[in-house]
Amino acid sequence: MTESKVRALLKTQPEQGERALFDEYYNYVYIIIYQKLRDIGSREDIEECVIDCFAEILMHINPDYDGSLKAYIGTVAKHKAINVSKQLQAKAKKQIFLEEEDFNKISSDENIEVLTEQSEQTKILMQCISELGEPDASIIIQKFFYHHNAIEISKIVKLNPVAVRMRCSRALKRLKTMLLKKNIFL
Amino acid sequence: MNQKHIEKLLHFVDEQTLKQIAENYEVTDSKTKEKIYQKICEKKRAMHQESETISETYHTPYVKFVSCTKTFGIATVCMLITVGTIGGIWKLTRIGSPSENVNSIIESNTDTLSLTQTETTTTTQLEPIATRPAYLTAYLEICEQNEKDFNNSIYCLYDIDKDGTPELIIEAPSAYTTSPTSLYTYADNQVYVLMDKCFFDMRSQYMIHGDHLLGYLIHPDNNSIYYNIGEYSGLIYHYVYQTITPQHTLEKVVLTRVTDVDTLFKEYPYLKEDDSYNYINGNGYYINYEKTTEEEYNAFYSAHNPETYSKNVLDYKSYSEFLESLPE
Repeated sequence: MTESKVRALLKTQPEQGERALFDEYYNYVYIIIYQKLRDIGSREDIEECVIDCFAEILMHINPDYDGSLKAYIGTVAKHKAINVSKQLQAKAKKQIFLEEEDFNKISSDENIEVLTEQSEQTKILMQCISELGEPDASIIIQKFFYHHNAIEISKIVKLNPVAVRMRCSRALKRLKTMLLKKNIFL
Repeated sequence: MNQKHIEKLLHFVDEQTLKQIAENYEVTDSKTKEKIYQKICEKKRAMHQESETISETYHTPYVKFVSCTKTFGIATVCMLITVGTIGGIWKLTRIGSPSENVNSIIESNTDTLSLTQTETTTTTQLEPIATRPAYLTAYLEICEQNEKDFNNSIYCLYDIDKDGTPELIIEAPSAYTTSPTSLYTYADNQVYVLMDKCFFDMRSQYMIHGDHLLGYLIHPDNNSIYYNIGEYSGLIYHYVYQTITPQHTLEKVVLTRVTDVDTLFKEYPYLKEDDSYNYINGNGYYINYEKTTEEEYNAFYSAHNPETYSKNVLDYKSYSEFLESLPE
């Protein structure tokens, strides 16, 4: 559903409009929050954040708002996730304050050159994954991006878990062949 | 292929790739998505109520009185200034205008309400089916909803736990070779869901499409459902027994035989990292994923001999056939 249709529904039939907005942007909001909280939060923390984010959007959304709905929703999601991330970090006592002696010892372990190369490899990997076709592509993404187990994946792709594991194994072999052809060795 | 590398590459994706993943792949299954939406609606209602409570707090009678007085005072001052200005201008310019009598005519139009005779329709009320048991009425609601959600499902009534009330088994169609199963039991004037569109975590993916019985065997005398399945070319083999408990849940006993763990992990190395296979500790026998002796394993197997189970007791029907077969 396009943005304009969602907006129109929000004006004429608010309840249906809210459901359409949720259906349209659920994946988008979830992935933004997942990406921010995956290293520090649990699945429940992520879901809770998604719920808070949508509740806030639906409370304050103005159907007459002219700007990009996706951008607005993405921004709310990002900031909600950052807030939750900070709360979780504080709980886990992972914060170091400027005044602390150890602060100067912290250095970024980012290697820009390596990151750039990884970024290129990621693009090629994503292209190869999409070439696997369904449901193999979904299985790979669910397993290696979302870290779902076979039972959870089976509910999403509507296969039984044994079939999921078999397909995953075969898909990995095909992926390896495709990546080797593009000179990527994993 | 090193799977850790794939995880690492997918961990540090850029925004464009994130959007691509969001657009092309689901993040959760539909049940979780629905659960989240319900919670969003509840949260929104709670937030709305909270804002109304705050609004009421700031509109108590005293606050209202003060705010009204303030508004009245400001309005009076504005009016006096306006009147004074107009009066002053008039005096200076000596402008007079004849007063106009404005006769306002208020026409009241009352719409005449015409009473129309409402048509009365008589509906033929279906007489309550006195003979239909309560469990059947409850099951029929489920079947009706299921048929709306999953067209071409098949239905069966069978008393699995031998308590005198049959269970309802529904197999929903699937695009793949297996069908999700739902199993319901009725007790204490309510329906209990024992399985809800469950693929049964060890169903054979090689089952022939259209085989309605789908590997379940029912014990004709005891409260027991049985199936067996092999994984990875039979290197792992399971015999699964399920009973319906008095608490209306399904209790499962899984007998597992692992025959060649070295070949298993050599052919399928990713299994070592899969939590579902953490229980495997060498070749041997397992009951409910705990290693056991061959004697204990055989004792249980003999006591629950699969040959005593039957697959012919389940008489699946299409929805229309199912309805026709029910007592009136």
